[in-house]
Amino acid sequence: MFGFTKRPLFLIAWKNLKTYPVRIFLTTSSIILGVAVIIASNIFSESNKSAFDNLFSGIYEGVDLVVQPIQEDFAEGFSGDGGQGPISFEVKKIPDEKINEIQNLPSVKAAWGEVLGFAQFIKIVDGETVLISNGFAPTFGAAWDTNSYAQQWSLVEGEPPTNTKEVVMDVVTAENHEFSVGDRVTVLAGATPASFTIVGIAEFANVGAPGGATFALFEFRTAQKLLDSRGEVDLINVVIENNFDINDVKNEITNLDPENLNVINAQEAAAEQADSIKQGLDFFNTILNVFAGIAIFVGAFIIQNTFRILLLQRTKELSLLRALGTSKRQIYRLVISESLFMSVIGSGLGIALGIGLAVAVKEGLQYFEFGLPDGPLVLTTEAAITGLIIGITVTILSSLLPARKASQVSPMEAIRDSVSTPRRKSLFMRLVFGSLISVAGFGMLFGVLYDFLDLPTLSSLQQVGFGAGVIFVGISVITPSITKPFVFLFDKAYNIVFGILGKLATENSKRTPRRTASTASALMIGLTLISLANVITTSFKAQAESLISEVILADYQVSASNVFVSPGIPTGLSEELLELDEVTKLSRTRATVVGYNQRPLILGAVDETVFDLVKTDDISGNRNDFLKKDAIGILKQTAEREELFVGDEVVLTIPEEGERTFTVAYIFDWTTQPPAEFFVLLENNTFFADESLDTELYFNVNKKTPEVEEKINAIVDEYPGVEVRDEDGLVEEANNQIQLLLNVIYGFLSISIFVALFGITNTLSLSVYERTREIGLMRAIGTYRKQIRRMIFIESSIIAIFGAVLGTGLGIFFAWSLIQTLADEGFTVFAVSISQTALWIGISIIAGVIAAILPAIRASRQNILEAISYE
Amino acid sequence: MEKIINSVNLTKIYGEKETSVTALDNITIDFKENQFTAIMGPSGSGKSTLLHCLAGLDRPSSGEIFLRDQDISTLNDKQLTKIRRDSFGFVFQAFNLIPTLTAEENITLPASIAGRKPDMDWVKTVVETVDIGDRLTHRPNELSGGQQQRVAAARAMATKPEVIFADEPSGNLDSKSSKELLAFMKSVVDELNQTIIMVTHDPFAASFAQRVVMLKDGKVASDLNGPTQEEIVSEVTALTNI
Ligand SMILES: Nc1ncnc2c1ncn2[C@@H]1O[C@H](COP(=O)(O)OP(=O)(O)OP(=O)(O)O)[C@@H](O)[C@H]1O
Ligand SMILES: [Mg+2]
Repeated sequence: MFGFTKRPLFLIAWKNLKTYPVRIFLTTSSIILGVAVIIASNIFSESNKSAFDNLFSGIYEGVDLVVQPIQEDFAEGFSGDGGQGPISFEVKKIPDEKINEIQNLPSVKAAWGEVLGFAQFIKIVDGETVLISNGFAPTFGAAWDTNSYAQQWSLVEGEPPTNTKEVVMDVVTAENHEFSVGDRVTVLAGATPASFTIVGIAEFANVGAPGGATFALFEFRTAQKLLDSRGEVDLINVVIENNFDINDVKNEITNLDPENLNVINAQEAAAEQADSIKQGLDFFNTILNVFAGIAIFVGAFIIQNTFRILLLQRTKELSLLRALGTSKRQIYRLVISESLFMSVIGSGLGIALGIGLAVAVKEGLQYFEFGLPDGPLVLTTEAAITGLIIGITVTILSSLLPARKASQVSPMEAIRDSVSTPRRKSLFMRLVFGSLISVAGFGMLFGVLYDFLDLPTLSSLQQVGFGAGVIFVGISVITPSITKPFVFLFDKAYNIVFGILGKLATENSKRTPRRTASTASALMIGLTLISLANVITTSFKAQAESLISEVILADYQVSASNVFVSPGIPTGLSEELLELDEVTKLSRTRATVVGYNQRPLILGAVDETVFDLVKTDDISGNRNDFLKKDAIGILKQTAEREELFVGDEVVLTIPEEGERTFTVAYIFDWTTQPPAEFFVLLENNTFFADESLDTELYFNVNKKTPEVEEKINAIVDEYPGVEVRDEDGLVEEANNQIQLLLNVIYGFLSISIFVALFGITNTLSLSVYERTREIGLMRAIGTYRKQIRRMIFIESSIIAIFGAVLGTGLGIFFAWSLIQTLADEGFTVFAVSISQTALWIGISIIAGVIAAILPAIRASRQNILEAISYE
Repeated sequence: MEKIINSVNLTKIYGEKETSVTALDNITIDFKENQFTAIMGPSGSGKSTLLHCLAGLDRPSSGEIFLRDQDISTLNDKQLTKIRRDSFGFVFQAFNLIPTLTAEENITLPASIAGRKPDMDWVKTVVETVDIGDRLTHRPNELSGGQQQRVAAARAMATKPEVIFADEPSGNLDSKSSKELLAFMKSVVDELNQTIIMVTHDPFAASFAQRVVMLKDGKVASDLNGPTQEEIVSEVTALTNI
């Protein structure tokens, strides 16, 4: 394949690689990992996108036009707000008659109504009710389409639902939770659970179940009743006759009732909706790519190190080539072509590993029921090519410097005996230069914190982040010059604990400060990010904890566990609780959407006791006035926004009630997440009495004992979809969410630690190689193999501690700066979890020792005679 | 004088079948306690190989080696390592010292490895004998070649070993340093009752020894007791000319 006469060096390069598979593995390991992360993250986000594409095209499968109700500004304005509380409000729907009207148009082949709402399956496990859902994916209830043109759902098993007691379950839920045809299942829709028989298992269009959502499919009328759509549908699907133009039909249908009907092209709508979700996913993708970038960055460090090591080991071979008349340029090219071979192999393997990684991550997420849409994994050609290009480019770039160095090997080197360590430039210049950079970084960072420097065009957060980046670079430059003093710090301790082996190991780390530092730097990057994430989340947790205990005065809080499925708490619950002798004080909150100044706004109703159970701060007016008839209380922010003051009159449009006038009596701050913007007293306002649901309950008990808790739980358990939590429960819930996020971040960052391990392995291999004679001598004069291995492990632990301590220190400092910057946004607590910090430093040390296993074994097996013979 | 170490039918063959080299051919030899023995012979005669086998650095292909009647040719690596550490001392031609340790640390290295406190009185005596007392805190690269070899000699003696093995200890030294080192080695045997087996091809070096063993083609060619330098030279000439 390669003509020897034409390209001898290419052939040498190729032969070299073939002869040393371990060498290939060592160098390519970091390329493989870096590329793998890129590929995995890409597959992951692409697959999610395609899952959403499938979901939306599945929803509109076989449909030409979709007829939607035009929502009143009222509701639309509200939903535009994002809906921040468990509020029930009226969404406009389409009356059943319209289906027939559309069906009767000559241009329409078929038309059928869709009913869609929230419903959730309930499973009883060991006498406990469990709400079934896949992570964050929604839980839907819908009507079973009987129209022959409807293609969304097809039965895998059983029959369609035909009466009010039957339900069809989506196949994924059925499989995951082991339901089969004939089983009975409880479904929660609205606030009241009811029991159904599963008559069929159905599959959604082409994806099993769309995006991890669960589906309960009912007979049409039953669905209308359960999903709050009596006599109405949410939308109408239309299939047109072949010989009509789609736009003409669209206009024709719109003209039936232009005030209320909005007709859209189904395929366009599918694409549009998928796009809007995909934009959200892009954010996720960006994060994954940042992690991939970190892995590649760490990888580049390591590739460079490895090349240096391998080339040093081959000094003799290369100098022999030089002595035989090979030019510097040719040596340079030889090394570059070797790196080219390696990069291609490495990138290829990286892509393969990436696919594996994506599968593993997907399985892992599924195992933890962290629901992202279901669907096949997709590897795009672009992603594969990007991975290849990045892998090859990074490898070749990283090999340039080592290649240049190698080409400068003197032909005399072959004849000299020792492995010479070339003279290096002074570390002092590094210290000066690195310090200047760091000082600039500190200036930027502290400039924000202590208000003396404000860079134009950068927000304070950006300036702090930028400063942190500059500091990081500065410290990386300095590390080689502080290796010695750092190692000096634990010289003594190591000497005492490990004796002469500790002494030898510390001396060795100091002998090659640059190498020790660059190896430690790879680890430092990962540890900086890990401890940053760790401290930030620990602080947030502490903040959440202090906030919750400060603002929730009640012993218990009751709320809906899934606001979509059951938007509130049946009012019977508060009555039952009040019947308990132990319950001393209870406050209900209810809410409804009202109109104010042509805009929707949430009006809340509370009991007087609420002020004892939730912390509220007086701003103006007073609580006693709030208790009067026609008095209204307003949240501080709302009052400021609407420019309302105590004594002003407020006119609200209340559904089914009309306009009512209130007087502003009290302006206050609701210190937790407020359930509404305007507040009235529940007992003063009869229109609230019709609401069948409370949004939240707060109550106190005379004594918090397990017996009381049991009584409370017994009552609450009767109401599926409703949760009772005490302060610890609230804190725990907040903490769980933060911890989940942190674990995902940890997962990705540990990849960078993993990559850094290969760097440690390489460095130690080099160190062992350079000390062949030394180690041989030690063995000759009576050092056990075990002791040689221990010495290498100790050396590795020094590198690991160096990287871990520097990284952890930087991470904690950056986290502190970040929290200081966010002080204005209300982040005031800075907390470092000692145990987590110690844990990660411990993990780094263990990882370092693991990385040292191979070099240590090699060192201990060194042939003594080869090492000491003088030739 | 008691024999301290001896070999019985010691054979060492390097390599496989056709390309094999017999470095040691059925050697049976005793070495006496408190004696300075030199091993000589032409290049490739098997001097180093013999030394390595006796010192437990290499394994014989056949035959036995006894250290005070204990067969050490059958020991495993760990047991051999312990013997090297506690019973033997070594001086090689070069690379004798660990570059990151000071002279003193190098001298006490075998004791440190064993996790023992070195016998400081003895170490002091040894250090005085080899005359490097003022260089103890220096690293090897701050010492001359001769000083390095003397530090190595001090290390070899520091654990009061049964036998000190030296392979061309003066091979890299100028004649003055060489003479000093050899004089020290001789005085160690005479005054501190040590036993030294030294490989050399230099008749002058060998003249410091009480016994000179000549090797040729892996066999003992002659065994001289207390020879003068002239006798050694003529024996070497005779051997090379055959
Ligand atoms: N590791 C080895 N593999 C193969 N042959 C070897 C090996 N070591 C030594 N030999 C051979 O064994 C024979 C004896 O070698 P040895 O090193 O003992 O000689 P020497 O007497 O020490 O020579 P010199 O004076 O040159 O050091 C030589 O022929 C040598 O080539
Ligand atoms: Mg020799």
